[in-house]
This record gives sequence, structure tokens and C-alpha cells, in this order.
Amino acid sequence: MPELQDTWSWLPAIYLFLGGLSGGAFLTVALIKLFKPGKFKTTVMGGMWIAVAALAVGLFCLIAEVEKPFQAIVMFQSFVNFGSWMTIGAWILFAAFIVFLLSALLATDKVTDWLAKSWKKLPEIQGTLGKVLAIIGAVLAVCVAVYTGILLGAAPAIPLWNTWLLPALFTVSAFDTGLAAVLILAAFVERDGAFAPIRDLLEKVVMGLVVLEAIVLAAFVATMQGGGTNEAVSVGILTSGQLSGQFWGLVVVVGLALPLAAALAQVLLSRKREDKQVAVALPVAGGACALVGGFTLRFVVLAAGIHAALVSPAVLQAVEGISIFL
Amino acid sequence: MGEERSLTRRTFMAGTAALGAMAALAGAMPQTLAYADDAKKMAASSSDATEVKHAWCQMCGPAKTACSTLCHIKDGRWVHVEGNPEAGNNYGRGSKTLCAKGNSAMQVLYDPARITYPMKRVGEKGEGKFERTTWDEAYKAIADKLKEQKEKYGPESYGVLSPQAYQVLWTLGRRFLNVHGSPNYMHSAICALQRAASKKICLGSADCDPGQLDKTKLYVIWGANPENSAINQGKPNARLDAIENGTKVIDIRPMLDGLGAHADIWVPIRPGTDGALALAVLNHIITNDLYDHDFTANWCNGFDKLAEHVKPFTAEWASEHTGLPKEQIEEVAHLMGTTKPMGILYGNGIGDQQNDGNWTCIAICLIEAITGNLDIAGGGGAKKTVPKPMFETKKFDILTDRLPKSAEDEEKGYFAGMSKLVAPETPRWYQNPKTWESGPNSAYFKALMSILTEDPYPLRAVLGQASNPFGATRQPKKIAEALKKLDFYFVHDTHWNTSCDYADYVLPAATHYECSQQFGTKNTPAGTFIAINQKIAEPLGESRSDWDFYMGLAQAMGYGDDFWNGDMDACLSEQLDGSGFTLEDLRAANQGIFVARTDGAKAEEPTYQNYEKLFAALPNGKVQCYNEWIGGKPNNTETGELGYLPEYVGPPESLAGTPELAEEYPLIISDVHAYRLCNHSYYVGVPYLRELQPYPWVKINPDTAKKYGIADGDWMKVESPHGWVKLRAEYKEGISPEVLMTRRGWWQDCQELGLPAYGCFDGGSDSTVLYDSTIENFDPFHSAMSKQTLVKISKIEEGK
Amino acid sequence: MGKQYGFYADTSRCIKCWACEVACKQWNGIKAGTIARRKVHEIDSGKFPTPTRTFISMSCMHCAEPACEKVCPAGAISKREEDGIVVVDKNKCIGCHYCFFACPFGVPEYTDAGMDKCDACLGNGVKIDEGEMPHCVATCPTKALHFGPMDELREMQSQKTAKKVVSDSTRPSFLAS
Repeated sequence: MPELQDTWSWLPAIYLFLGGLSGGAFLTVALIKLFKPGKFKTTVMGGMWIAVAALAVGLFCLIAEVEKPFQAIVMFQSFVNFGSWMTIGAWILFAAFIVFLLSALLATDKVTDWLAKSWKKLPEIQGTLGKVLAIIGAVLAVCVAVYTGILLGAAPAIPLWNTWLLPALFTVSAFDTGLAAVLILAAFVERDGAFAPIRDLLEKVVMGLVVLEAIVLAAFVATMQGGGTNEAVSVGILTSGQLSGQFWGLVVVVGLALPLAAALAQVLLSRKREDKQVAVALPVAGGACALVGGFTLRFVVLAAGIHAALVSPAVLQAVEGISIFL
Repeated sequence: MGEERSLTRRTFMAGTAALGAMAALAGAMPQTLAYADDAKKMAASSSDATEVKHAWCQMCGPAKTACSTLCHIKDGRWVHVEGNPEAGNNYGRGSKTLCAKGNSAMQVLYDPARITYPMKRVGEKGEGKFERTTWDEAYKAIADKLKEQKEKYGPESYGVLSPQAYQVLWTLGRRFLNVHGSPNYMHSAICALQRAASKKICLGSADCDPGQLDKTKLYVIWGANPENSAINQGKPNARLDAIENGTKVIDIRPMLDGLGAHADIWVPIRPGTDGALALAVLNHIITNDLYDHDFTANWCNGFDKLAEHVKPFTAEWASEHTGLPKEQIEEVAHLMGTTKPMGILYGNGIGDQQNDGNWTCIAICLIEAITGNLDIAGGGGAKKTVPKPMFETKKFDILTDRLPKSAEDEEKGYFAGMSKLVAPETPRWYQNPKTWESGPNSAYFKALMSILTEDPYPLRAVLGQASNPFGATRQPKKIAEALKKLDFYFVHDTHWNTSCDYADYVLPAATHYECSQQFGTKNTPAGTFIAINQKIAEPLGESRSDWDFYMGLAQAMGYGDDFWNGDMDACLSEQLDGSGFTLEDLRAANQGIFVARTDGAKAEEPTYQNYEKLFAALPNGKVQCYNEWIGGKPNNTETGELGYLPEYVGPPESLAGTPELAEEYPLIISDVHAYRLCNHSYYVGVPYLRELQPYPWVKINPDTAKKYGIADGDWMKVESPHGWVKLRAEYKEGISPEVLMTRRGWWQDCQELGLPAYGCFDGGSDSTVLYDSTIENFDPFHSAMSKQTLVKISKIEEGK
Repeated sequence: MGKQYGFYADTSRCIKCWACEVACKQWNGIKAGTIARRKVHEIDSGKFPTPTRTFISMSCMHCAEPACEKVCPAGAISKREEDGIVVVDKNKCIGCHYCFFACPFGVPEYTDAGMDKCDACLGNGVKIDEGEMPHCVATCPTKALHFGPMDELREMQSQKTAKKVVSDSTRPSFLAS
């Protein structure tokens, strides 16, 4: 039985999940902000703070993983090779964090009120500034989401990761989980009745994303199974090996099937009922499931990403027999 | 004046001063010394940060001078080691090679498990309760005891355990025995000496191992293990060269090992059945008329008797015993009978670890002889001549004449001391200065058993120096019994070996890296090399060198006059006298001293088929197909007579020999006597080496393992009729499904890696507990003991 | 650029004695039980009574186009102009482990000091430009491991049955026979 990948521990899995969630959440509220300016401020503000917090914790996990974290945070010294996706990603994350943070601050009335005391011009430019930040932030959010997949996808020696389907999968999952987080938030904090249509729309988007994610995931698994021995062995860990329980139970059922069902139910219910409050439990449950599925997806893909040189039951055999000699 | 002359012909490789001399001579040398630049650089770099010192590697045994090494010392600490290109190690001058053990040598010096001060037992034997004492007190107690026993029981009541080839014992130790008056040098009976004796009584001075491998067409490896026992001593490299040169190799061993993997034919024989195979090969060669008629007619004693004798030993017959297909036996025999020149390298595996080792070796020697392969170019022996050394040192005088000759010795015409041997290794009548140059030997195991049997008398005091009797011989349970009953057991060792718990005194030994008391020479056609161990570190704690230990003991015994009054330097100077070098010269040469050949002499082809000379010592001056040297004479236990013709006995427990036992114990086990990551039972605690073999392993064919539900890496219980051990399964296709192979000696832990020691009794991991130790079963000529038995196996569940 | 140096492992001469592994450790000050810059691998095939065993000593392959160098965010990995040896600047390395996932041979290992791999003994003072051998090669008792400019190694290899090493996109400077 092949041993799981352990050069990277579970900490990067948390980052991959939270980074994606952060991007997805920011994108969601940025779009709300841009298309419904001035509305649903609590949700927008909350969503932005979720994005900031998730990214902060995710980055902390990422830095905690390296051997020399204190050296790593001196970014202008440690991230200098722009031929490396990690360098590009690090600076994107850095920029995203700044923009997300500024956006969140600007969306927080207490902060702007306080700032306005000394910066008289702020109220004038606040709207434009917010929009600009939201646009830049949205672009960065997409980059952050995509990057979680690229970080792994750009590792050529890991057969399971080295495919464009992985960034695709992680990006879809990022939007999915980010959206879920915002929906959960909204279920608790959004008191504006006008949010209902938005929620319906978002639930539909969730359905779309879940279906898309299922398709991408299926394509990913099928591609791997149809690939070389290395790929098949790796993906076998997910579909029938050590991690098959987590994969089928938590990723497929909890992460995809349940949110889909919840979203479907939500949309159907909202058509029949006038009482919107009844529906709070559903998006929360569906969203929570999506989050569990999203995290498990990152975890299993990371753990099953065994090195090409180590794939195959007889570890050393593979080093020479499969990957070194032809 | 002589001194000056010798200086002009020397090439000093000692530091920068010597380099000019070498550069000047380089042009005159026959071959370009590509490594001369290396030496220059090394000397240059050594002047700033690193100091380089010379040492003979001791990783193949204490006091060995096989591989010359350069030790790099940084800030007073020995940090790196490499082969000395000056010395002519391995494949010759320029070779910087070392084996894995050699590369780990520093870790022995700095092992935290070293003994640092003298200890005296205060508890029961085996209990392990000791308290610190002083050297003076210990020496006094030992000397008092030895003197008292000498008085009461005679000097022969003292015996000394011999580890593997150990220069301290065969020089100072033997001299001490002789001066004290005891013949009881307790030799292991697991030694090349066994094989040498068998060969001597069959082939005289001829040899089976090819002396010019580059001319050999067929090279048969039979139970020889140089990829484990002597990696850096030329043989593996030479064999690989020969293979590239077209030599075909047949490897006859139970396990497909590192060199075996490069053989043309692997013959996975059941351990302990080589005698059967050898007889069948003789049968095939004779029956099919593949032998050399000229040679057998002119140079064989009783060839017809042999031909008649081997008739029943057909390939079918051998197939039953060896587990080999009849066709493979015939194929191998046919190749040996038809390929010329053919040479056989047979090793300790068959010569001295089978209870019919003597006849097995003889049968193999006879294959080499009757096929006409002795002393021909590329055949057995027939080495190129090596020109005389450029200088010579004196042989150490062991004072043989001091050993008292008893009336019985006189009467029976024995070598002095022979009648007093407690357990003669080879028959008393055989041990004489011509055949057994070093002096009388008792067999290790049998001598220890005399303590229990008191037959013919019990040993009263035994010294163990660098030898662990629980790992060096058979059946630790019996050894423990003997040590419990022994009056006085004292140990001098670098490490607390398992037998120390039974000792009265345990004294700390320094490694040979902590003293400058052993020199060695190497003579090659290029020139002659001499070097001494330089002191790399001060002796740890109160430890004393093996040499100083004897000097002190001799002083305490009042034998000082015969031991340079305790002055080891005087002893060394005496040996160097006449060589042209002083001890100071040697100690100053941090890469040793190489004297390039100036006499123009070269390695030359010998005169071949020099049979008259080679067989001169043999009865009738002929190869003993029918052995009249030993035939009809008493065996080593004086319980019967030796035969004339090769006999197959087989292991005491075997699939074919004891089928009823095989029903309960269906598998065969044996062990590799030498292994490349340790030195017999020592050095299992060396981190770099232990890392590569962390657990007591047993190689097992996956098909067999799976039958017992044993996965690769599972611990298993291995039980023979004589004891049981815990071993960790390692799957291996290169081993017969009927056979298991393991390695003995796991008494050292490794603190750095957090790996434990394993015991040597039942439930431990030492395979010596599994084997038969019935003295009557030992080889009647040279006392070899069986290293094969039958076992049953089962998986040990986690935590048990 | 100067000549590309590399290793050549001749499996027809390797007997798995482990001398190269231990020499590498002692000369590079690597503690037992931690990492190994060089490993002797075994390839088994066939079943009793005709199994085969092949041994090969491997370390960093000093690729012509090192994947590790490309992905290193800190620019800690570089390929030397003069001999093509791929070296790590441990001061720059942050220990992100990313190079392990990039190297097709899984060579990079990590300690507190950062990524660790074979540097052809440049770090312990061997002067390869003056013809000195890395210690693994110098210590090999059976002449199974060689080091030198690739063209010279190719010449040596041509005497034997070459084994093809999967080149990937990195073009390893490693030959086997």
C-alpha cells in the first residue's frame, strides 16, 4: 500500500481550503457590492471580514509549514524568483490580503466614521474607493482561488496534481465554499427582506457550482484513472484506498450531494412559502456541508499527492523500475 | 651511515617535507602517480585547519592491518576518514576506497557506550552488579589468582579466548601463554585456519583459489562471502574485473548476495550440504571421464580408491540432500570438468561452519586437483611472484621454546604443550611446528565446556579480550553455565559485551585509534609500504590499549623481563630493528612511508605445475585422494579414527537427514558469519551502520512467509530443537523457500538512534542459540561446528 | 558555460556495500537516522530460483534544467556556471519543501537548516575542477560509481549496456549501465 504524502503536512490543506474560501467569499460580496451598491451592507462587510480572517489564518498555516517561518515572512528576500509560481502566488496573496483588509475596513462604518474625523475627504471618495477596491479585490480573489490549485498543479513530480483540472477543481470549490460561507453569514445577519431574491440567485449559483464541481471532479478522477500507473495508483488512494472513506463520504456525499439537495430544497421552499425565516436552517446546513466537503477535498488531494518516485506498492522498486529506467 | 643510505631511497609521504622527495622520484617511477597531486593538496589543506593522521582501520577487527586509512582531525576531533592512496589498499596504489564500516570508524572511538574505568563484580555472576575499581587493584587480583592457580592446578588451567584474527593475541598473548606455561589458546574453530588445514592435508602447498584471475575461465565461488567479509581487500573488485574480462562465475551459496547477483549461475544450495554437492561433482567428473588423466596418474595418491568411493554419490543422491535439481548439479559439475582454467574460491561458510567441513573442503580441493587445474595459469594458485620487499621488519618472537614440554609430549613426539591441551582443536598429533606454526590450539567451545565436564580437567581462569563468547561460538546457554562455574573470568574490552556480566573483573580497553602501538607493511611490485597507527585521541577515561594491557599484566605476574619491562615502545623498536626505520620515523609519517621499488624487480609469471615442490610435504608427494596423512589416525577428541576418503555427514538436523524432525521443524536456518555492517558480533551499535540494519533480520522467501501469514517487516518467532529467537522478516526472492538466513550478534544498543540491544538466550535474537552444540557432532579433524539447523516459524503479534 | 559534470552508476559493478552512502554522511556531517544525500537502491525481479538483483547508487542528478531551481521561490537553488553542479544556498532557503514536489526524483530532503542534497562534495572542500572525486566515488571499493564531465562519462558508459534514465524535462546529468 503506498504511503501518503507527508512532506507537506495537513497545515497546507487548511491554507488551500481557507485561501479558496477567502477568495470565493470576497468575490461573492464584491459582486453584491458592485451590482447592488449600498445594499446588504452587513453581509458585504461580514463577507469581507470573513475573507480577511480566512486568508490570515490560511497564510499563518502556510508559513507555519516551512522550516524557517521568520525568514519566510521577509518577503522581499524570500520570494524573489518570479519563475516560481510560489513567488507569484505569495505576492498575489500579499496584495489580496492588503486589498481585502482595506475593503473590509472601508466597509465597516465604525472605521470609516473614525477615519472621517481626521480625513475629511473620505466620505466624498468612499464610494468610488470602495468600488475600485472591490474590483481589484474581485480580480485578486479569483487569482487567490485559482492559485490554490496552481500551487499544487505546478508541481511536476506529483502525478495527481500535475493537471490543469486541479486548478479548475479548486477554483470551483473555492467559489462554492466562499459562497457557502457568505450564505451562512447572511442567514444569520442579513435582516433586509430584499435579500431574498439575491439568496435565491445565489442558491442557484450554488447548484450550478456544485454540478460543475462534480463534473470537474469526475473528469479529474477519470483522467487520473486513465493516465499512467502513477496517476492510477494515486487516485486509487482516493477512490478505493486509504482515503476512500473521506473521499466518498465527505467530499462526494457531504460536500456535493447534500449542498445540492439543500440548495434545491431552499429554492423550492422559497417559491412556496412567504415566511423566509423558516429557510434559515437549510442554507446553514447546506453551507456547512459544502465547507466540510471543501476542506476534505483539499486534505485528500494533498495527502494522496505522492511523489512519482515513490508511487507503487514496492516503493523502491518504483523508483528505478518505473520512473528511472525505461 | 646505513641510516643515511636508507633515507635516500625512501619516499616519505609525511607532510610537506616529504612531497619534494616524492615529486623528485615520481619521474623515475614506472607508472604515473595520478594521485600525487591529491596528496599535495591534502598536505596543503592539512596545514591550515585539518590535521591528517594515519591509522590501520580496525573495523574488520581489532589490531588488523588490512586497510590503511587517513584520519582527518578538526579541532581535536576525528571527523572524517578515507583510504590512504599511498598504501596500496584494495586494487592498489592510488585507491582511496573504504567499505561502509571503514567509513564509520570515528563512531567507534566516540561511542558513548564505551567502558571507561575498571570494574569489579560484587553481585552474583550474570547479575550485572559491579563497582568501580582501579587498574592496580585489578591487576593485583588477577595476578594473585593466576599465580595461585598455576601453583595449584598447573599453568594450563589458564586459557585465553581468541577473537577472529587478532594480532595482539598471536603476538603478546601467545608470548604470555608461553611464558606462563599454558598451551590453551582457545581458537574459535570458525576460521580460515580450518580451511587451510584441510587444504594442507590434501593439496600441500597448492591452492584452489586462482592467483591470476584475469586468466581464469571459470571461477567457482563456494560458500565464500568477500562482499561481506573483505570488501576493501581486493577480491570483490578483482572478481568484477574478471567478469568484465569474460570469466564465467558460478556462485554456490544459499542466498543471492551482492556479488552473487553478478554471477552467471547461482546454485542455491541448502546450508550445510556442500559436502554432498562436492561428492556428486567428483562422481560426475570421474564417471564422465572429465578428469585429467595425466595428473591423476602421476600426482594423485589413491585416485582409483576415490573413483570407487564416489560411485554412489550421484547427482540424484546429492539432489535429495542439497535441494538442488539434479540437472543443475550435473550442469555445474560438467562446467567444472570441462572449463579450463578453473579456480574455486571456497570460504568459511563451508570449511569451518559445517560439522563435516574438513571432508567438504577436501572434496572441493580434489575437484580442483583431478581436473588438472592446480598450479596452472588462471587455475588454482599460480600467483605471479611478488618481488622481495624493499625492507623487512622482524617477526615477533613469541618465545615458543618457553612452553614446557611434558614427558608425554616427549614420548609421543608432540609439539611442546600438546599433551596439556584441554580440548585440542585439531588432533594433538597433527599440531606441530610444521603444520601449525603459531603454537598449540584448543577449540574455543570445547575448552569452555571443560569447565562443566572437567574432562580432561577444568580451565580455572579465562581471559576474554575483544571476544564475546556469547556471540563467538555456539549455544550461549551452555557458555553461560560454564562461565558461572568458572573460577575466574576477566575481560578487557572497549564495550560491555554480554559476557561481562559473568566476569570477575572488566577492564576498559582503548581502541587502536588511541594508541600508537601497531605497525603494518604492504609489499607490492610498486614498492613497500609501512605505517603505524598514530594516536588520534588520548585513551578514553582510564582505558588502556590491548598492548598495554598485556604489558601491565606481565609486569604484575613478574614476567617483566620477558616483556620489555612493560615498555611497548621497546617491543616495537625491537621489531623495527634492521628495517631502516625507527619508531619515531613511523610515528612522524602521517600518511605512512612508501618506498618505491628501485631494484627493477617485477611481478613475474611463476613456473607452473611445480608439483614436486607443492606436494613435497604430502605422503608419497602426491595429492591425497586417498588420505594417508590423517587416515587411520586418532581424531581430535581421541574417541575414534579419522577416515581416508571424503565422507558426507550433513547437518545434525536436516530435511533429508532427519525427516521425522523436519515434520515439526520444516525450514532450514543458517546465518552469514561475516556481514558488511558489523564485525562479527561487534559494532552493531555504530549509528551509521545500525541505521542500515536497525533490527535483527531474517531473510525469507515471500512465498514461505505468506504461508505463515508473515508480512515483510513482521517480527517472527524462529524455533529450533535447541532454542528460539525473535527476528524481523525481510522478504527476499534470492533465497530458497525452504531456507532462512539471518545474522548473529545483536548485543549492542545504539543510543543515538534509540535502538535496543537484543539478548543472546532464548527469546533474544542471536542465532547461535539455535544450533546444535553436541561436541560429538563437531568435525573430528578440525572441530568445526554446524551452523545449520531446522526451525519452525510463526508470526509474533505486536507488543509481544 | 563550462562542462556539465555528473555521476555514472555502473550496476554491473555495484554490490550494495553501502560504502558510498556512509562516506557521503561522514564527509558531509550528516547525522545517522536523519537524511541521506545518496542511497543505494535495489531493483529486484524474477522469482526463486532465478531472481535478479540490481543495485544502483543515486543522489541528486544535477539536471541540465533543474526543476527544483525553477520552483524555488527564494532563489536558493542555482546551477553553477563552471561545472553544472546544482547547489543550494541554505541561507536563502526557507524550507518550503516545494522543490521536493518539483524534482522528478524526489531528491530534496529537509533539515532545520533548509533543503539538503548532494553538492558533489563542493561544500566539504573537494575540488572537482582539479580532478578530485566526490567522496562517494573515491570510496567505492568496486569502481561502480563515477563522476566527471558528462562526455567522459558517456565514453565510459559506451563500454557497457546503457540503461536509459527517464529524462523528463529536466535532463539529469546521470548515466547508468
